[in-house]
Amino acid sequence: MSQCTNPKVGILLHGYELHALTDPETEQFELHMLECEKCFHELNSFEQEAAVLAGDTEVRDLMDAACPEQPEAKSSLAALWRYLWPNVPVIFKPAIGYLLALLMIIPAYQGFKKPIQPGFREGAETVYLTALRSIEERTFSKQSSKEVNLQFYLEDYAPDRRYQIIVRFEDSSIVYDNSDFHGYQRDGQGYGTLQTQALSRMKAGKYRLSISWRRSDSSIQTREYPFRIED
Amino acid sequence: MDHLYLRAKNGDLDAEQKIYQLLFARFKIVAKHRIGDHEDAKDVAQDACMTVLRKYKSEIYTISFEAWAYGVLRMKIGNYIQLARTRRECRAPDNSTERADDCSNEERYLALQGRLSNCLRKLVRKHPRYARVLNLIYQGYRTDEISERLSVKPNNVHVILSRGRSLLRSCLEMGSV
Repeated sequence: MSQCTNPKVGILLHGYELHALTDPETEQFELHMLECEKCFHELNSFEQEAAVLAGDTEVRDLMDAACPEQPEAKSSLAALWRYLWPNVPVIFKPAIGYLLALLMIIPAYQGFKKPIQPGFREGAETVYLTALRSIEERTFSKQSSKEVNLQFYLEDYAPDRRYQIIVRFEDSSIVYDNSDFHGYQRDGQGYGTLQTQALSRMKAGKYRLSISWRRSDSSIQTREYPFRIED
Repeated sequence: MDHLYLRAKNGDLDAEQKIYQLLFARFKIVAKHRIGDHEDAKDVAQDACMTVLRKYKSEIYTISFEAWAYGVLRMKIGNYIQLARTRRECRAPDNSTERADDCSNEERYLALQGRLSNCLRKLVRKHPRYARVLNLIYQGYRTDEISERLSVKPNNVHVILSRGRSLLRSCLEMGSV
């Protein structure tokens, strides 16, 4: 016996015998049967049995007694499973979408949750000071109840290098002076952080942060960062 | 069938006869599936075959010969159903009529029914999914509705039916599943 010419349609055979196909499937199979010798032979040779199977009331009663219809699962767990994993292609299943979202959210949360840098005071507002060619003042408006971190770059950072850090107020008074300042390195860049614990309570006004260090040729290099704090 | 069609179109009478035989056997099955009545189905199938043979040489179509012939059959079936509704002579698909038509006598039918029932009892244990699908079909569900109800793909339902049919056939031939 020859093979079915189109197995994807040929598989509809028994459904056709039992009158259980949809209209498009019925048409599809009937057209296929006109040209497929195997399916025609199968239909023809099983015609009487299929007629009894499809139409006989005693056979139906037998099947009903042998296989009573199970009630649909009403539990919320079953309903949840049907929602998460319905009968659709995999990429459209909600469970896959939720899993992908979770896989993206977790690393994103880790990224947002910045690690506490050495010298950083958690919960304080941070002033980032960068050396600008135009020496523009950085202005920081702080809430009086909040503490302040000052973070700045350290050039020529080396673990054994010591920096002199001086913070002067606008009236030239020295607010902070440390000639043995250590910095830290992160991502190949040197940073320094001052907390207001090391400074007196910073009041509104203009400040100037001065960083000095001895270079390898023994010359002194200085960088200054002007910044302003407003109430 | 395409090569038979080409030969018939060139005047080969044997090919034309062969086309009639092939089409009639298949048309009978389709017509009976849609109409229900055995004798009426034969008449409709014969009418469709005659129309096909009368028109196939002169008809111009862009689809395959089988698709065109199938269209002719569908039209004849549609005409029959419409006429039957108008005349109110159409008998509803009747199991008792099928019994008389499909089996030569009552005893043969009952023997077939008995063997089928025995095999189905064995099949229920061996292939419960087929039994469940069959039961749903008896309740009036179509295969697409069954796939939703059982939360499986539509193709899986057809696979279940196909496997069940193979086992059923095997049981009818050899007596065991």
